[in-house]
Amino acid sequence: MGRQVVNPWLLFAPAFILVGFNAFLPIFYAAYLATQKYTLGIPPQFIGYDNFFYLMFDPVFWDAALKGLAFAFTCVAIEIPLGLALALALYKETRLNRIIRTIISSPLLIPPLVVGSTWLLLVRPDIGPLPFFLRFLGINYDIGAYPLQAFFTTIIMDVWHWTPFVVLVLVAARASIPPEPYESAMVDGASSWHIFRYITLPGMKYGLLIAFLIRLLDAFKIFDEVWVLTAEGPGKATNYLSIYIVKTALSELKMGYCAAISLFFLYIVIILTFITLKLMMGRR
Amino acid sequence: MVKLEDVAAKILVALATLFTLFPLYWLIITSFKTRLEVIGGIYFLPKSINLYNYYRPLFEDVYGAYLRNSFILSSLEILICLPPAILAAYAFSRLKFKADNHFLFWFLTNRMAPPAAFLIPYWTMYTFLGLFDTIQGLLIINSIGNLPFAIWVLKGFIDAVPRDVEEAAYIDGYTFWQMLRRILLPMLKPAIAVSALFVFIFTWNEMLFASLLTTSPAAMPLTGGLLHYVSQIWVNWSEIAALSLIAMVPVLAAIYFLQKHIATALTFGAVR
Repeated sequence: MGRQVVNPWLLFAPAFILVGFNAFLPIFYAAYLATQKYTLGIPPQFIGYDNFFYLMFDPVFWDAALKGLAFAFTCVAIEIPLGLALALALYKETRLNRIIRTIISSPLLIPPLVVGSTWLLLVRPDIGPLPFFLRFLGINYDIGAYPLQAFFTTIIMDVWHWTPFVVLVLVAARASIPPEPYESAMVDGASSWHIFRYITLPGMKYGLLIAFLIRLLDAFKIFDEVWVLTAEGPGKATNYLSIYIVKTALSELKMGYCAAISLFFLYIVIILTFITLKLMMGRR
Repeated sequence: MVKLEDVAAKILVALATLFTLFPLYWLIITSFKTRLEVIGGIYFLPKSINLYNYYRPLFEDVYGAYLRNSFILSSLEILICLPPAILAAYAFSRLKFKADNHFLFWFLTNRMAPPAAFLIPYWTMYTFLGLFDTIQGLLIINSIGNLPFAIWVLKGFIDAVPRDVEEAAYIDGYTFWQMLRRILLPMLKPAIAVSALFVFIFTWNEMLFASLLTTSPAAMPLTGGLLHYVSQIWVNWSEIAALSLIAMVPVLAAIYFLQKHIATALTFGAVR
């Protein structure tokens, strides 16, 4: 359709103005704040790039970044295989499968805060059933005291929350593979492992890639659920990057430094997003 | 013939369903227990169905106001996001303009950006702008993720509408706006409903800004109020469970309808 019936800029402008106001103003303001030594209540003072310099050598920041990565990769390493197995068990369009898929996708849309509060009810040492049963097995389970337990509890919570997403994406991917290769493989008498390895897995490559990238990004940004469940503790065991930013602002009131971390975090995520989108669009 | 892997698949599905349902089951029964029952031990059924946990926070405390704010905020968010999103989605889907692909990317990066990274500038800016502790302030900030989301989802739906329909309208002498109102919008009704529901739910679910940019019952949504309740030292866990369930109502109401579209929505249209 060669001709333009309406000026595209006119259609595009309202959305651009609204999102632009939201995105540019804060980023410029954050860039300004990042050059200031500004603790809330004390007038800001220009210090150039010192905040970024400090950031490079701040062990807590790097600890938070690495923990965030460890958290994200562990989550994905559990959710993708589990989601793949469930998707292959549930992809057929039967009535029962549809009902089960609806049931297991219920965690996806509930408020992340509620995911956190639900798990808090399960794992709190004083009221939760999980510590109660683990005590029978001789395990002393207390996410307020043991860093490793807290770390893995946040991972299991994320698995509960987001594995259904992987299932839904992979069900769609599996359903899009045409039946012919399977028919000829049956005729040839291929083993089910070979069918999985040489037909199903390659056919689902794109779905797996999308699930992997989106889950990795989202897990890296996690905030609400962990904030409710453990905040940063115990002993900074669940001090992921988003949490570190909010803590720096709320408890330490270091606005300038916090702005510097925010910008740095934003750049990491934008680069990851860019790679994700390139790979996703490349296949379209 | 029963194959081993079929049995394994059934067991896995059964376990996954149980794993999904148990926390929700626990949430529901906790919401019916009295405070003493919760502290007193692990019981798998409440002694009685006690609805006071729902009644007290809503009608004797401020949570009714929080709930009202959540409804106002999420409904208005649809009105703010969808009209610009429909226009922009049409522009991206049908028209060519300079750097259109870059703009499309830029929109999505805003959706993917970590909200925590925007917290500090907003926190300080909103006080200057007089938007701190107002529903309008939350409306504006929520559009940063929801508007790009709506653009992407609607663009996918518009892409799927055949162009001949529009061509025929133009040949009949329709202007663009007439075509939009009489031809395209009616065809897009289901798509608009789906995006509107998702925008509603995402806004309803948002917690970080809701809890930090508002403070009073006049503006704070339910997620903000609930977070403050959970962070208190001495809390009534059954009321938290009840409020958590109340916060899940829109999702439970919409999940069956939205189930087909969740994958599309959460992958920005990459999976259909």
